[in-house]
Amino acid sequence: MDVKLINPFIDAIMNIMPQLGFQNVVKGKLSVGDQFVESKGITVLVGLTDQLRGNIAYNFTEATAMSIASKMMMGMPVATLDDLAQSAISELTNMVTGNAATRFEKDGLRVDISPPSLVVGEKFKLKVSSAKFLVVEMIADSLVIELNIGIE
Amino acid sequence: MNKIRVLIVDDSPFSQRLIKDALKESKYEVCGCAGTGNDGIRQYRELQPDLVTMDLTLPDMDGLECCRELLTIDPAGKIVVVSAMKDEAIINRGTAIGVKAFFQKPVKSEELLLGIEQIIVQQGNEAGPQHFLEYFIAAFTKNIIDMTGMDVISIDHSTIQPVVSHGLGVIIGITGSQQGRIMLDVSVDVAQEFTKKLLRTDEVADEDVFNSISEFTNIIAGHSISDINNVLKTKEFEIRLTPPSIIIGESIAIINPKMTSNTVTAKTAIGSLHMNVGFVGGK
Repeated sequence: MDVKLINPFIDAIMNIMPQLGFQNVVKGKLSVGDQFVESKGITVLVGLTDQLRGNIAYNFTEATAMSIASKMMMGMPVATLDDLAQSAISELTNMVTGNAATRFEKDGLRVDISPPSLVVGEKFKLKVSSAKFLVVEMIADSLVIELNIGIE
Repeated sequence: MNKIRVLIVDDSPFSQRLIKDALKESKYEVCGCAGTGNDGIRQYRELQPDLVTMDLTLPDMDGLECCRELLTIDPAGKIVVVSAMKDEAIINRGTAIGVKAFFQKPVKSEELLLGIEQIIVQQGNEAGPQHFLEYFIAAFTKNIIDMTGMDVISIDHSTIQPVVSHGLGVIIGITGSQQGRIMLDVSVDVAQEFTKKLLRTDEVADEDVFNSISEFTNIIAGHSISDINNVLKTKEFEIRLTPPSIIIGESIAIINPKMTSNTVTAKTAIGSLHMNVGFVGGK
């Protein structure tokens, strides 16, 4: 897949995270993934279809997911990944993917996104639709969000 | 699921018979037949059917007149006209009264079923797209049987949330006029045995299992969505699918906030296959 396809996702994170109260959002490591995404504990899947088809797997540790959820809820303490926190994380990935989709559309590529599926467990791995996928780390106030982008 | 009850108002026993035949062996049930308009009105009050088929030439009154009487009793009533006559004037007058669709005799059973289906689905959207589940169940069972030659011993339903994977799950997103996702979930053992059946071989590699289960899910989703799109007809209501993702691991929960989902379990000779279908509200 074309490396340029990850830019709308990076831009979307850069754009959205500050709106949620994060001060410092930077791009971390970029690499190529092969076959499997190893989950950090919480992985959110969002599918893409229409002129671009594929899947994005947003990968977080549980602690990161809880910190992000807490920030999104104006600092409300989050001790477990309860319904509210799950909903916040799901909404974050929905916002980011939706924002990226709008950016693709500006470039003339129609993209439709599916609702997010949160996958939570001790140890699991995922296969996105393409064998090779791009992995980009985004760091928001020292919290790491790993985006695994597989677009056909 | 309860059958959708239909009242036939038609003075011809022959036509009554044709409509009954068209609706048999489906989710519809003919709950009454009336040969006159007045009998139709009486039975409508008594039976409170979900849908009425109406002939236009009745011995005691005009069919459209009868439609109007019925819609006065129940403004939300669903009436379709099945008549030898079908011209622009009838369609315009009927539509103005509140008739949902017009069919010309002799009506083909597929045409009638599809037309009625469209009306029920449109109305069904108010109650949520759970109605669509039937299409997924049909594609699920049909493809197990067609693609493996195995029988489906039983089908069970559950709405337990969150959904916990049995080891290998394939998720396909649903987008367009309805948003949701379909997931096929099996234990690793069942995935392997099922793949052997699909590929008609005794030896399968992990890669074969991933590819086969993923493609099997894609086929079920594709068949279901094509059938639903055929019923929804217009491009505006089209539903689309995203490519499959596979999750592998023990005791993983799959959570979709804002979504209610149904798990359908098909028992086969090699073990159980679980299909979970969920929708959030439409656009």
